[in-house]
Amino acid sequence: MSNWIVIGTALAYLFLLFGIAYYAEYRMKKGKSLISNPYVYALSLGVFCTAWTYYGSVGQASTRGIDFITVYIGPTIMAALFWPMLRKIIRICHTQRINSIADFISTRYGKNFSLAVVITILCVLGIIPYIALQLKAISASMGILAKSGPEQSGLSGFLGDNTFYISLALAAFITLFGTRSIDASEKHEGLVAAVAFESVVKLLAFLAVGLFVTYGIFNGFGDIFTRASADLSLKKLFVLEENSTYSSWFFLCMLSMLAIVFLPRQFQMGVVENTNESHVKKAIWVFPLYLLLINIFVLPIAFGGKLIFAQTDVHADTYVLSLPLHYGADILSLLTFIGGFSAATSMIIVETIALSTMMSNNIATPLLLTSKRFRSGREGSFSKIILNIRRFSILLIILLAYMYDKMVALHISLVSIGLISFAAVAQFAPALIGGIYWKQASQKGAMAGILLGFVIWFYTAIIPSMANAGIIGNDMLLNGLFGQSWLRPTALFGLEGMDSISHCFFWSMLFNIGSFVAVSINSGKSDQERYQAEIFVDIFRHANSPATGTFWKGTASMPDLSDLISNFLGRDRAQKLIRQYAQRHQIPLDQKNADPRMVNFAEKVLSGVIGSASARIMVGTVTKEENIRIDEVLRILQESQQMIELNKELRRKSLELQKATDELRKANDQLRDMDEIKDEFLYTVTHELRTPLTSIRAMAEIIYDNPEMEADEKTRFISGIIRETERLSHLISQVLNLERYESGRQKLNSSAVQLNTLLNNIIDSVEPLAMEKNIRIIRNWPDAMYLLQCDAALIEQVVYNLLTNAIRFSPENHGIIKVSIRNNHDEWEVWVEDNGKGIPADLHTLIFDKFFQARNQTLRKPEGTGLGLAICKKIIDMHGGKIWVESEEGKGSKFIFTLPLQ
Amino acid sequence: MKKILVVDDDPYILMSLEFLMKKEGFDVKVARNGTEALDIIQQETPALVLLDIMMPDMDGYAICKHIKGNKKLQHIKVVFLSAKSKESDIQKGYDLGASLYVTKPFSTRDLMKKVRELLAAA
Amino acid sequence: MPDRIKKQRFAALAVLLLVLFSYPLLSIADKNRMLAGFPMLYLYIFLAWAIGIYLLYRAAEKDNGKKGKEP
Repeated sequence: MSNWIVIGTALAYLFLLFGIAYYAEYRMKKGKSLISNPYVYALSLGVFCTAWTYYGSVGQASTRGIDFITVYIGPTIMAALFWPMLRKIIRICHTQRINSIADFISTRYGKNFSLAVVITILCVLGIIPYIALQLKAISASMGILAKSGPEQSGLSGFLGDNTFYISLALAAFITLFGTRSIDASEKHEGLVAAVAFESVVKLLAFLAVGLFVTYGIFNGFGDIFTRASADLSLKKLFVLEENSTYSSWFFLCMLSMLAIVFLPRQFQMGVVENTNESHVKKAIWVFPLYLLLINIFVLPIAFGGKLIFAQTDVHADTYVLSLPLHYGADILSLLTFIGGFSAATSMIIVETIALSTMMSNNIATPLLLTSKRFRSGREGSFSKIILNIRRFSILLIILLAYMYDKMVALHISLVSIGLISFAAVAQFAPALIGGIYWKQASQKGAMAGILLGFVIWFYTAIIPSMANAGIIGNDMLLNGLFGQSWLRPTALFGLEGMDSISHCFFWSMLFNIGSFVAVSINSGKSDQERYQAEIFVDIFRHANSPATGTFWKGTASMPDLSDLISNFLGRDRAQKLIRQYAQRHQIPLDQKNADPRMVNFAEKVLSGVIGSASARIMVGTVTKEENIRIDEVLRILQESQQMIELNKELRRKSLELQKATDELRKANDQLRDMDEIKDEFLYTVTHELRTPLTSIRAMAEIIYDNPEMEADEKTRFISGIIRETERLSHLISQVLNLERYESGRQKLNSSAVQLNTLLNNIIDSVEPLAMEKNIRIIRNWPDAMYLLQCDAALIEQVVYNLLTNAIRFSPENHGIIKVSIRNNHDEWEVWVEDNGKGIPADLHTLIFDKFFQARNQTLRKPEGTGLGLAICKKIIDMHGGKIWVESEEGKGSKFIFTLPLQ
Repeated sequence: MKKILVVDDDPYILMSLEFLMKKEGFDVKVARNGTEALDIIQQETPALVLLDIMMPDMDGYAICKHIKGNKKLQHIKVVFLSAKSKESDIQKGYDLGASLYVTKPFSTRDLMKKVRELLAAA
Repeated sequence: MPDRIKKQRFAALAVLLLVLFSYPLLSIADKNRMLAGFPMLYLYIFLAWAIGIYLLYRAAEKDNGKKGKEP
């Protein structure tokens, strides 16, 4: 293929990109934004896939099998965390008008300038080689096409000139669409549209080539794999273990998980350029799907290439292009080339924008500001200067990358440079992730972590790659620093057996996180830091509070402020912004002193232009007082939170109080009831006692008043007195007993008892009473052992009471009382049956109640039972048994109680 | 000779009251429960009834109500003798038309004095 | 709070994906055998990946849906 065709196609494609970018910006001006679309957002994340994906994956697959896929699996896993974490980052970014990863971290840690610088430098060092490699891929692929023909080897001659012009064209594109507005936190509509478009192009191109190889050259997946398995060296690649290690797999996944967020281009597309948080929802699955699709044909192409080009020295990285060329599919080859071109250019565009923003905001502008004191300048003077600084940075980066490509990149594979870049940006992860979840994280900690991580990264990743490229000698690699073997760059502290990237990742992360945490815990924090920590970590709570941002106290004159903003944004734009803000927050603009919120807003706007660290300084120059009372603001913020919490507490406590009051009332009622019960009981008891007292008194008075009474009558009365006295004292002791049982003072004096013996004894003792009424008592139990544990005295009392009742109620002369023992699984049952007048059903439970006579009862309990049954029940209850009566009026009664065997 | 009916389920009280009334010269009838009492009231129509309240089958209040509700019997004087000493019990007794409510234990001398007064007033 | 549930769902999904692509399960599939014309490991990885994406889709788009792993 002729060189001109290749160049022509490339330039035509770039032209197309320009067109798309213009169109997108046009649409935005019309209010119908092209990029406010979740799918566009998700596709823009596809910038992750660069020439590495396009060419390098195949190269890696053909020598190592499937472990190239870790780079895409990691992001898939991370996608699950997009919803909680990425959203938080986006929210913070939008509220704080942050426009780069350096800005983010520096803002979080108190708008710290030095952090911003360090991060910028690290990014530049880590990413420029990566950009260079894209340029290398472009030139290589152009070379293959231009000198096409199967007899040629992969890497062709020097075509730097082409690449140089491509680079310049790219620089122009980026400048045009990336620096239209001074406010770097404004969205770059054209850029995003172009990047999304390129994602589609590279996917389609790769799929096309994949289909061609799989179904055009071969007969499907099965065919390729079958033929591959016939070759032992290829078959080996089917298994991970033979080519790599699981630990390497794991570490690479981890690394890619971080890269998908922390690479400057990913941060740019995923966070800064995000227009709507809800777009993240689509990205969560569309982006991994994209990764899956673009990787489907990698293995078939790899094996296909290996099979076809087995005896040649065609470099595996070029299979994607070489295969269609080999078979004369020229159009397809051109398309494939465009796909790779897309992949490379999209990366270059976005990374350059990201890096140049960082460089201009964090290095160039501050330098400028410190060297000249711009109190007031011509309107818009700053904006021009800032913009030019940015444009210059873009050019600088592209040129640096170009030079790196020409001089250094020759011997280093795409893949390893890519991974080294991953490891570099991974150093930001602890500071950033820690920053948004851990309020205790401090600037010193972040600095310590990043610096230490940086140093270790440099030592374990850059040094070995330089040694391998022949730039420096092998000495340090083999013998370690200062000849100490435990300081070898690829086996630090003696950790062997890991591939160099995993090794680098492990140690750098260890030291990074370790020092970050240790220093954070032990270091103090400035007020500003604490304030920022509060806002960042609790962003979802504070997002709508006007106090987010530095709270400026003291006077800033409105005209001064307005001038300041105009200097950077131009008067028209500045006026418009100020007016809009004032309207929205109802701030009067005619006052001389600027409303604190306005000052706040001004700072935010400026930070979009020159970075937050510089912005803070600039606004500081127009406020007459320093923001000394930052802790006051912090306190206000925290207090308002506390207020809300307190309110909640208050409500909760009052509910508790309510509950407590209710319970108190209930307890009070209960006590009153118990009081009543006590009164009732006393009443009942004394009531019972009055009857015998009445008769005793009456009889005694009669005897006293009637000395002439007849002797036998007198005897009758006197014996009556004696009997009633006995009855009285019996009643009293019953009451006392019952009280004792109820109060729990009575302790069971358990012993082993023979139930039949006990019954016999009691029956013997009451037999005389029974005889008086000519009542027969039958003992009804077979001769056996009736052993149980109980308090013998108390049970005797129960039986005694039941028997005396029975005797009282049994008819004279033909009364029969039957006492029986039954066994019922785990308890003894004792039955006391009589054939007396029976007890009506409605009294069956009442008779065991000591209060039977209380509460307006006017019917006397069945005569003479007194408290006896209440006492029986209490005793049986104490033993864990049950007592009840079965009876019908006129048909006798059966009293039954149970005692557990235990 | 005036007829007096003594109703109480306690035998000793019955015995004592019977003795007292007899000594006083009254014609004493005794009943151990409400049923017996009603029978005797029906048959003998005493001039005065000494009425216990707490009884197994029917309480004194019911008997009093029966007496006072019957045209032929309402002239009979009712004296409640009861251990129920609450204000409400006493009030209820008087509301039902009792001539006197005596709480147990009572003084026999006082009781006799009061009975004499009541019957003298007839 | 639906937001909290969503967060938990995603956290669980992340863990699931990690496990699916970690050494223990991976090593089971990492044998030198063919399955349906594909090397076993390759098939496993791509299938697990596809399933993972589907689960991500469900978790992200369906507000009332379940993660798909429920009985």
